[in-house]
Amino acid sequence: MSMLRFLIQRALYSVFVLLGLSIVIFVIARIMPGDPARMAVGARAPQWVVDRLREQMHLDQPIAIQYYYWLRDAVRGDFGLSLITQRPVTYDIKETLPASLELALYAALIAAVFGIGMGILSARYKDSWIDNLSRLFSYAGIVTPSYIFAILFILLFGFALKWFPIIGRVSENVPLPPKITGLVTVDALIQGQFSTFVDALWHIVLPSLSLAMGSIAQAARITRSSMADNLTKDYIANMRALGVSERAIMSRFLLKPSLIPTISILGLDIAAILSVAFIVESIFNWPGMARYGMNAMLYKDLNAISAVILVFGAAFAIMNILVDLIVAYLDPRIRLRAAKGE
Amino acid sequence: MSDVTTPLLEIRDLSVNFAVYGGELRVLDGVNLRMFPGERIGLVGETGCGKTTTMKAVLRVLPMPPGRILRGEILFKGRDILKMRDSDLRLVRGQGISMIFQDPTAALNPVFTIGEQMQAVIQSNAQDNNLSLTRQRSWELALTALKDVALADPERLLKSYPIQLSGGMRQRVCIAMALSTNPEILIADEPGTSLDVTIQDQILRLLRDLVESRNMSVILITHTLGVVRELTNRVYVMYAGSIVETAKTKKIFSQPLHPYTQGLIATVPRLTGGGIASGIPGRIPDYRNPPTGCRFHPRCPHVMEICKREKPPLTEIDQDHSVACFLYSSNQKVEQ
Ligand SMILES: Nc1ncnc2c1ncn2[C@@H]1O[C@H](COP(=O)(O)OP(=O)(O)OP(=O)(O)O)[C@@H](O)[C@H]1O
Ligand code: SF4
Ligand SMILES: [Mg+2]
Repeated sequence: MSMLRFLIQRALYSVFVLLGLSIVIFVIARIMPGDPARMAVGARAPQWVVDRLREQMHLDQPIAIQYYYWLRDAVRGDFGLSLITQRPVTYDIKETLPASLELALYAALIAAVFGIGMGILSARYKDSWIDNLSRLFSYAGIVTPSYIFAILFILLFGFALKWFPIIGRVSENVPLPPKITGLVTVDALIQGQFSTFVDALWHIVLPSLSLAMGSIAQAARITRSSMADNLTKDYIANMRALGVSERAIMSRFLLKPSLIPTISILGLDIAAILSVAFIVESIFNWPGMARYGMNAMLYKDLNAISAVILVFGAAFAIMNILVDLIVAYLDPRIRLRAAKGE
Repeated sequence: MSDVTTPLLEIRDLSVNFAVYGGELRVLDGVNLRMFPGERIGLVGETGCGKTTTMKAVLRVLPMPPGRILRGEILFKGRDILKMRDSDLRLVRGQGISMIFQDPTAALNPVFTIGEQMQAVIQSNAQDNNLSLTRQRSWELALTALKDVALADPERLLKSYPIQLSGGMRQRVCIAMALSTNPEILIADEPGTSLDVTIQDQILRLLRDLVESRNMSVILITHTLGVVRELTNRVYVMYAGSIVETAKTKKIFSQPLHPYTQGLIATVPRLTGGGIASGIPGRIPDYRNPPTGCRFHPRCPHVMEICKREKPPLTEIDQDHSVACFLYSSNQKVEQ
């Protein structure tokens, strides 16, 4: 029960954050130069068409009322038409979001597995060449933007070694599986199309790895330092003193408390990946939402921009809740405090 | 010493430094201690003199770094713990020697239940004896261990996290954990100090009963001289990283030789811990730059020239009574 209460608390909090975000988006959209109605119908439409549209769009009403209508539509999933694609923005989002989510999902997996793995190795073989190498990698990984990795990987693994494809979600001759979740690898598995699954997996390796590099580095560093830190704690000394095997200590009693900070950071990192993926998506010609959002900005496609930002905000909020849940699961102190309602 | 049996535990010339920002703390400066089977040793000395450090070194659980063992031997039944292979060390830890840590809150892993932690201890020790226990069996053993320290509702306790327990319960859990391995030597580092006096009293009484019924050898670290008098038969007095005097408990109280011990005894056994050495002006030295010679010399009322130059060795001057002080060396030595 305590977890449910905890969940509701966090969800409510997120709703407020999103409301705040929506106000910011709305205000920015309204103070941008140019008449939204005029922009919607084009420069050559007669003035009376514009005026009618202004009325329809409630642009003749006070700003608070305008916000109300805008929010009402947004909650219903209606963000209007996209200027570029001339389709409902919601439709575009539905088309592009799964591709971005799939990318983020694999980036998260890669970051968790390799980041935590590297951190553990580093802590285990502290000050050895493994540790030094990993530290070097971490510094490089943290300061290098993901698109640099993308270009490097394309040159190295795509062109030179030809290990991985560098464009799109599947090869040209491979049909996409019927859309169920929108995640190609998952849909292919559900349909039992194993060769499609492998092909899609092959395609996602380089873009997701490029996006994950920074998080791998971050996770490795945090895991290493929190393990090294906890290693000097009395509860580890106590376990050792009472004869608990080193293996059990390392793989359980040291690992679990040490992963808590890593997971907190990793969760936020991954939420951020989603929104900074636009260059990487463009480089790999990945039909994702970040790329769509960037195009929307280049063309001042206000409806699309608002929707994309709100979706990213929501993703961030959901990710936050998810991280809180995982941390509460790992850390009874947080769980019990939540139960007491503190 | 005249005793013919071999010591169960012997610490020889143990020296430990800690690396800290901007230098080295030279904490342990040649600790010597000997324990024979069945002995109950009280280790006393004011805060920061190195009691916990010594005992952690015995079980090889000093954090290293920052800790570093410069020299010394720790012999358990004649074999040096510091040089042992992991497989031998595992047989010493737990079933040979086990320890009740000073701060029970810090000694329990906050993200595992009491049951998970106790089961790990019990199972690992069984494994060292080539026994394999079922989870069910180790759970039962953990339950028994909790009942032995008079904890009510042990089933629920095993499923609880440390944060859900009171300080007194955590202390008892730590005792139960340390005893669950059936050690030959039990090291108890200031049990109950963090608790209020009545609970501390209960804990000490419990500990005494357990020790008596199981016939264990004990090293009890404490600030409270009353406890020493009641629970131990030999005392080691420690000052600034060395043992300065040892004797049978009665003898220490009736005939303290070292000026530091005399100061301690003079402060009258008070039940409240804390300022054990309040009868002696001054404080424990800065380990970055400890006094030369006898580390006690800046505070000693009998200080002589030699004390500032040379470190007095721990010398047996009476049967079973050793002291590290130039006041009791042969005259020539003093006149040097
Ligand atoms: N991990 C560490 N890093 C740096 N210094 C340490 C460390 N552990 C102990 N010391 C230092 O060693 C000295 C002795 O500490 P120790 O804990 O052994 O004292 P103690 O006799 O047990 O004192 P108390 O009665 O307060 O428990 C202290 O000055 C302390 O600052
Ligand atoms: S050796 Fe000297 S300074 Fe040290 S206790 Fe004895 S008399 Fe005092
Ligand atoms: Mg201590």
